[in-house]
Amino acid sequence: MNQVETDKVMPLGSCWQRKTQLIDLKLQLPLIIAVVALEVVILGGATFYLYLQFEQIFSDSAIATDVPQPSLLSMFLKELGTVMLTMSITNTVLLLLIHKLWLLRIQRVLQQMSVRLRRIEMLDLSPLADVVDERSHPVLGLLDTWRLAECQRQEQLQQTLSGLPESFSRFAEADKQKLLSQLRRCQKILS
Amino acid sequence: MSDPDYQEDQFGQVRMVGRISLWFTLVALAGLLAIMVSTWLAFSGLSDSFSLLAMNAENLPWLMLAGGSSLCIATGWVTVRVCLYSSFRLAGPLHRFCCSIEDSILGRADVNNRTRRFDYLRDQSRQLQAAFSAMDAHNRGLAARLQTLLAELESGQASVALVEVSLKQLKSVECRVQVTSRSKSHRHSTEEVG
Repeated sequence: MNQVETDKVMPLGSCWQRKTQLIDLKLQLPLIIAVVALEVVILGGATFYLYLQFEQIFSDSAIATDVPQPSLLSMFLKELGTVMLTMSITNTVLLLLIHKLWLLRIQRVLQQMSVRLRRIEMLDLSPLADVVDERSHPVLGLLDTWRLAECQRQEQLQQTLSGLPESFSRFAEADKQKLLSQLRRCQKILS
Repeated sequence: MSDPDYQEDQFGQVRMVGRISLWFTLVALAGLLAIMVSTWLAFSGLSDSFSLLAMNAENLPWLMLAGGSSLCIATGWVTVRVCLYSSFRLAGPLHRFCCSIEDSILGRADVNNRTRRFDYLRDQSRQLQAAFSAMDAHNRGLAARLQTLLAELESGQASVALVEVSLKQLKSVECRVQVTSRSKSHRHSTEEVG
C-alpha cells in the first residue's frame, strides 16, 4: 500500500527528470533579455564585419588570381583574430555594465525590503511616507499587503481596546458581560 | 550592504560575467572558425576559374547568414542557461521570501528561514524572520493576556482592581504597535488639544 502511494507521488525515474523552472521572472527576465540581446547584437555585428572583410578578400583575390592559398588563409585568420579579440573585450565590458545595472536594481529591491522589515521589527506599521514605494519586485508588494492587513487588524484592536473603560465605579454583571464581549471580540480579531 | 555575505554575492555575480564571457568566446570562436574554414575550402577549390569564383562569392552572404544565425542561436541558448544557473541563488531566496509572506498573509504558516545552504541573501532571510517573529511575539503576548483576563472574568474571581490593572496593561502593550505615522498622530493630538 505504501509502495503504491509512493509511486503515485513520485513516478519511477522522476528523479532523473530535471526541469528548468523560472522561479522569479521579475528578477531573472531583465537580465536574460539584456544579456541575450547584447550577445546577439555583438555576434551579429561581428559576423557582418567578417562578411564585409571576406568579401573584400574575395574581390581582391578575384582581381589578383595569382595569390597563393596560404596567404589567403593567413588573411582570414588575421581578420578572425581581430574580430574575436575586439568582440571578447567589448562583450566583457558590456557584460560588466549590464551586471552593474542588474545589481543596482537588486540592491534597490533589497534596500526597500530592508526598510520595511526594520519597521515591522520595531512594530511600526504606519504608512511608508518617507520611503519611495517602488514596486519593482513582488516581494515588496507582498510585504506591503501583509503590512496593510496587519495594520488594519492592529487598528481594529486598538479601537476596541480604547473603547474599554479605564476604571469601574461599580462592577455590575452588565458591565462584566459587556467587558467580556469586547474582550472576546479582541480575541477574535487576534485569532 | 557591506557585510561579508554581500561581498560574496558580488564575487559570485562577477563570476557569472566571466562565465558568460568565456562561453561566448568559445562558441563564437568555434562558429566563426567553422565559417572561415568552410569559406576558405570552397574558395580554394574553385579558385581556378574566375567565373566559378564569382559564383562562389555570390554564395558568401548566404553562408555568412546561415553561420551567423546558428551562432546567434547557440550563443543565445548558452547565455540563457548561464544566466539562469548564475542568478538562481539570488532569485531563489527572493521567490521563497514571497512564498513565506504569502503563506503568512493567508494564515497558512509562520514565516521561517527557507534559504538553502549556498543561497545568497541569508542576512535578509534572518531579517525577515526576525521582523515577522517580533510581530508574532507581540500578538501572542497580547492573546495570552487576553486569555488570562477572560479566564479570570469568567471564573468570577477577578477583583475590580485586578481587571483595571489588566486592562491598562493590555492597552499599553497594544500601544507599542504604531499604526499611523507620528506626524499624523501628533497632528490629531494637537487638534484634540486645540
